[in-house]
Amino acid sequence: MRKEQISDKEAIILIMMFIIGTTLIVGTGGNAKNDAWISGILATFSFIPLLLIFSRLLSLFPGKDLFDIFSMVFGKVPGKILSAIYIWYSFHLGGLVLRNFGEFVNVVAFPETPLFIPMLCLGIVCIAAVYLGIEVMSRTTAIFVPLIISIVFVVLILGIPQLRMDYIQPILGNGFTTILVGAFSTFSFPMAETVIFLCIFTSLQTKKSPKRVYIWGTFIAASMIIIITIRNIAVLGNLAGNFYFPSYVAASRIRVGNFIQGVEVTVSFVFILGVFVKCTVCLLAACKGIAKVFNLKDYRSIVVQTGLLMIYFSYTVYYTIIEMNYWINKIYPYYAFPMQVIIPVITWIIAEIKKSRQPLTNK
Amino acid sequence: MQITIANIKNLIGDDFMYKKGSKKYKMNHPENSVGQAGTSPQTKNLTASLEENISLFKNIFKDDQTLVTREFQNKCVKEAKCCIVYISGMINTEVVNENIIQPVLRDNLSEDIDVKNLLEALMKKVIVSNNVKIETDINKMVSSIISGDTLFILEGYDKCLVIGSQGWEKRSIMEPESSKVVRGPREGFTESLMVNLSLIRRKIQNPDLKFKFREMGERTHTSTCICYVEGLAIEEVLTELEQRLNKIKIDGILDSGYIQELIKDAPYSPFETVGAFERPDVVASKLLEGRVALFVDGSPFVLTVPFLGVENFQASEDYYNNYIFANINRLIRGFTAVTSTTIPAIFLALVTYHQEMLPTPLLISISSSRQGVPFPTSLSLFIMLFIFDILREVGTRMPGPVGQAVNIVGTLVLGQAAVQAKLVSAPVIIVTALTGITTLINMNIIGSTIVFRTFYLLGASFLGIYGVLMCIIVMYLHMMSIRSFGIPYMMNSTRAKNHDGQDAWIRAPWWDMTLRPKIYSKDLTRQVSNKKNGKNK
Repeated sequence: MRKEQISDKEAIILIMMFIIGTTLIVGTGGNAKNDAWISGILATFSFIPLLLIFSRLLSLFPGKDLFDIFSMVFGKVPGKILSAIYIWYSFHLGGLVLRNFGEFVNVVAFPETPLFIPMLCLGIVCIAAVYLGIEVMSRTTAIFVPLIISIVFVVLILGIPQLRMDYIQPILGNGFTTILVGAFSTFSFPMAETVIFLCIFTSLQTKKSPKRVYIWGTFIAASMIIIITIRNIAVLGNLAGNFYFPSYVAASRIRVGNFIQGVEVTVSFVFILGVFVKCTVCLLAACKGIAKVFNLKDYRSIVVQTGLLMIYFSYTVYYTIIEMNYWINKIYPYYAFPMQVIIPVITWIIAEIKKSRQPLTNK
Repeated sequence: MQITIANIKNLIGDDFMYKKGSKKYKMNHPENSVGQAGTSPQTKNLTASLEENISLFKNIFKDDQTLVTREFQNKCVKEAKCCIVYISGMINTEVVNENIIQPVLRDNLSEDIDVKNLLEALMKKVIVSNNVKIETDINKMVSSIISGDTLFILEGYDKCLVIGSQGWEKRSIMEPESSKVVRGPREGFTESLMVNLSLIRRKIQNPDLKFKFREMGERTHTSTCICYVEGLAIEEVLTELEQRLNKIKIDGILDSGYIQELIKDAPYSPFETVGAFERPDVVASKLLEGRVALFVDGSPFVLTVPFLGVENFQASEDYYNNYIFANINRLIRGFTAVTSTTIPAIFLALVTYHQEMLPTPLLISISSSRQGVPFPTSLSLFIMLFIFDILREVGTRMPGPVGQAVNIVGTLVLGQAAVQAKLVSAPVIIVTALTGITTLINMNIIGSTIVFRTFYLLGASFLGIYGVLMCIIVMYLHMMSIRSFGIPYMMNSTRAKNHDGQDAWIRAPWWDMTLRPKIYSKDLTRQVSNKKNGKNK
């Protein structure tokens, strides 16, 4: 098997697409109402220390993924247990994202098509991408990025006539606690999910690249999310948090002349590509983890099985979109907190201690 | 900017897709070799008797009446009793008459000839030919007769002379029909291997240009030639090409297309990973970029490896024209490659699933033209595109005089009459026509265009624009995953580093292209920066 390698630029694109992917459509920080953009900024700043920890973990063990790091730091059996937790987390997250997509298609376009069909189709695409490997996947994503960025900005510019900046006022009108709650959900929903990349970034170019990749990827994605959140609020006002897909609704308000209208379909381009990246990364992480835990030579032998399970899982995980929305906003931040923050931080502390002791024992 | 061999090895080292057990090479294993190999080897050798030798050859070429044996004897030197053996049609009759028969038969032969060692003396002093050698092996004699040489047998010798007298009808060098240019050299390759090699040699006059011959095809014994510029081509690609050629054990090779498919990296892909070009200037430019070319006798198409995706959109004219104009043309080619696959699918998705995206007047006019049409849009699109492909195939296959009938059927019956009879709606015809025209611009990827156009159309009819996008993702995943001789097929299209991206989607002006593409050439410097030069003038 030849060694896969992805350049820093492609890795940045992966992280960027991973973060903006679903968030751009589903919206974030709905609890904070018209202060959601402030919670976006807060969440970004609070993510910075965590981001440094993630990249530090990767540069401490170059060429190793999270599963290797666990078994090196905690020993074999505890490492496998922790790995199992992360396998579940990435599997679950992939399923949730896929379900998000299914609900989106069901709500905005094809109410009569069974939910399972679009999910199955995209799931098969993801399986193919994982099977071909991270290098092929990241290069494929890279070729779409100009399209995505131009769609986002063209839609943004076309939407300028609809903006009503007074919707943003009153700033801090709902008090500071709602902003904090919103910030917490923004922190956990797109930002800290990048912990999954710890499982797959074994093929970066240099030791310094993780830091660069994480910082730039997060910076670009966060600024896009904040701009889009401000746009959504300025178009939809206080209601922005009440829509399932606020960006989609905001884009559908666009009407330039008598000709340019209904550009919301282009927004769903971004959504599909984002879901594709996110789902593929999650599936890849899950498959790599399973391969590591069971000492398989290559993760490719289990991609199809895991992928199909993920599709079925995403079909059964919620009953309705209401349940999905409730879960995303109310439960998910607390559910994901251990995987996103607690375990990586503990791992990092122990790894730093062990690393600093190692030179002494070597002497 | 310097790149070492170790770096290249790192980049492409074990990327080569060749696997021993892979299905593709199955038929090439020696144990599956195709029948018995060519002409059965002869065991008998020449004897001293002329009669016996002649009957030996007559026996070998039994039932082959193109074999000609001509006996003659010099009237002064009685020892010079000889016979020439050749195959009619393969030789140049003038050469044989004037340079072999005439000198041997002339009156004053005895003047300066050593009768004891007559064969050698004839070779050295009498026969007028640039290519004569003494041959003892009967098998080589047979193969040289077949390839158009003349055998000269002398009474009393168990060896003979092989005299080069090849001469058969060749097509002259013409402008290739498949790739015409307005600007640039107009010569194209012919079916003759040596003519083709000379065309390349005339373009690159450098001893570093290497030619390695080999014979392929167990029965046809087609000669092929690997050509590369030493110091530019990467050894890995060269050895990999030779390895793959060694694996080919096929009975016959009638065109380079056989080899193209047999050494392809991704055997099931609709994309070609081996290039085929008909123009010497194009192949010379590929050689100068460090690629390796493979000439096949009997085929005017020369193969080059590695072949990348962007090469489908590079026309030779791009490099001879003003770069702004050339870039406009190249962008048109790239744009039409995208539209020829996506236009019908997007149209279908818009009119069947996402009507809200269309401006209302347009939507109304489309739906009013659909009134009374019995078939759904997707079905009529499939049918019309299929009919267009039929017309295209008819256009290439039909004999000239029936062209008018096809035109009438194509334009009047299938276009206007079908709309008037309300079998299809007018927008469908327009979309079909647009797709057809844009497909024909990129003739060398027409196969993959048709495949993916159908694929997208299927996606659009199932899931609207979402289906199209998923199909596009799948296509890009596939394109990104295939490699040509270890080098990613879409290599230059995503990396915009100056020397790699300079000749991909756009062509940089010549004064700016100072470096060769990094990954497939060893020596990077293409030219010393020339910018100042131009500005001073």
